[in-house]
Amino acid sequence: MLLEGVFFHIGRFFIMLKRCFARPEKMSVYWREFVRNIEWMGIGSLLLVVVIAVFVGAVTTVQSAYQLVSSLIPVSVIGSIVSDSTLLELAPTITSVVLAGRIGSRLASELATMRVTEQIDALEVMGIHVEAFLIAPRIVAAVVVIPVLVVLAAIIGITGGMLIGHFTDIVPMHDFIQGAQETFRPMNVIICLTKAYVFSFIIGSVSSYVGFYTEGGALDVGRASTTAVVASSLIILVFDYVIAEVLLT
Amino acid sequence: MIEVKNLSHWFGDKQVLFDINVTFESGKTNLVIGSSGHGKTVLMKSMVGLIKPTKGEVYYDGRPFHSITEHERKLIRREIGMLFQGTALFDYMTVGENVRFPLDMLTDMSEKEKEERVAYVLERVHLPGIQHMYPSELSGGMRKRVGLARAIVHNPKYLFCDEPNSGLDPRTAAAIDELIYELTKEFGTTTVINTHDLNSIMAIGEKIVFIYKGHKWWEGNSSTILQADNKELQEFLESSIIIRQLKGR
Repeated sequence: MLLEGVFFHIGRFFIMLKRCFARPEKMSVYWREFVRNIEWMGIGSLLLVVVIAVFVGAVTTVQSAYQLVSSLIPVSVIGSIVSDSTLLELAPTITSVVLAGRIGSRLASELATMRVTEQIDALEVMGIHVEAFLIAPRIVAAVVVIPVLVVLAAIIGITGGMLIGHFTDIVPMHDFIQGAQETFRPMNVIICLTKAYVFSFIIGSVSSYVGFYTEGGALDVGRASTTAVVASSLIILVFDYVIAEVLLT
Repeated sequence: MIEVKNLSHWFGDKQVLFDINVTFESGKTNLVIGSSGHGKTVLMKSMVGLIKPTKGEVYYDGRPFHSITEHERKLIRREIGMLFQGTALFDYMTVGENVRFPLDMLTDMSEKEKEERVAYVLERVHLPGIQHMYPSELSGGMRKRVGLARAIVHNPKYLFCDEPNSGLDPRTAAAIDELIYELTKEFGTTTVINTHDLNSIMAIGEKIVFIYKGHKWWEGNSSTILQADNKELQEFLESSIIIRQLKGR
């Protein structure tokens, strides 16, 4: 029964994605939708991402220093630990999980509200490709905005860690930079971006799916919002492992 | 003209519509009446394609609606306007954007033509100059009228209204009825109205179809309805004190 439910949702999810690629009735209206979504997703999440990135970088620096008690290990190692872990895991995954909460919940509740207040029915009656009009611009906006936020989080996280380390006398700035440069590999950036794009697609598509197929009333809108966050976060963690397994081993 | 032929619908093993055969005429206000839960909404949703009926067909001026391709159905849908019970206005759009939405999506009109058309229909529903307002800033009656403006803006051949005066005070409800009647005459639309409002029945019921337990139980107009020899219909009508007084009981 559970397996049947899983297959049902997977099947319906891919059918929804396929319908997203219907030919747009009016490109200008779709563009307007895309820009509107870019605005609230990007500008609305900027401050949150900056604050989280600064603290994640700072905490990683402090905790790395706490664990490196041996005087045989140079403090520049802290720079390499902070930069590598930020690029490989903290920036893409933590940022995406937080954004699953912010962007995913809004996407789901917006679409669920449209469903329960017959706004989606109104679009269908007009003969509009509903999935293409409502879901495609949201997914594309998420895939454009979230990777930018992840890159920003990585830069700010590493910079924040470096500054905190410097001003609290944990690691001088030039040692931090030296450590970061010594272990830097372009592959880390590729992995960071791969995760950012995959996770952003998951947030956009899974949350839209949950919201779009909501049935019932106001209570179900709240439920859809919670389900979208939980489902997106879990799927992000699963794919986090899959990407690490595929690209790092 | 809209013809409904042998329309039946089941939800699971429960049959909710039984072989409905009815013709809705052009340039007339056709009312579908009956108590809540007797199948009025299912009938209307089947007619506009929000529900695919289990059996039967709907013909729009001789063109079948269900037994055709999705693309062909979309072309017919573009000739349909619908006023939803809860208005289904898009919350994130202004009144102006809501009303011009069908024009943006379905026509090749210039910006100037669209602006003029929006201004005209808003004036026609007695709400001039409110293009900049949001639906949340409007009263229930104003929202209904904006919903009506959006339904007629693209000059539809077929107008559907689901409970157009539910939740409105009697005076506003009467004004909405009058407006729908006037627009039907002005544009020559085939107007189908779902209602259980007895004032509407007496005021604009040019053709009335009474649905009882999923069956078409009676067909007539406002001048014959009070004399109809139909027990269930009379019970339905006599739920109104005014009708009881009119009939001298």
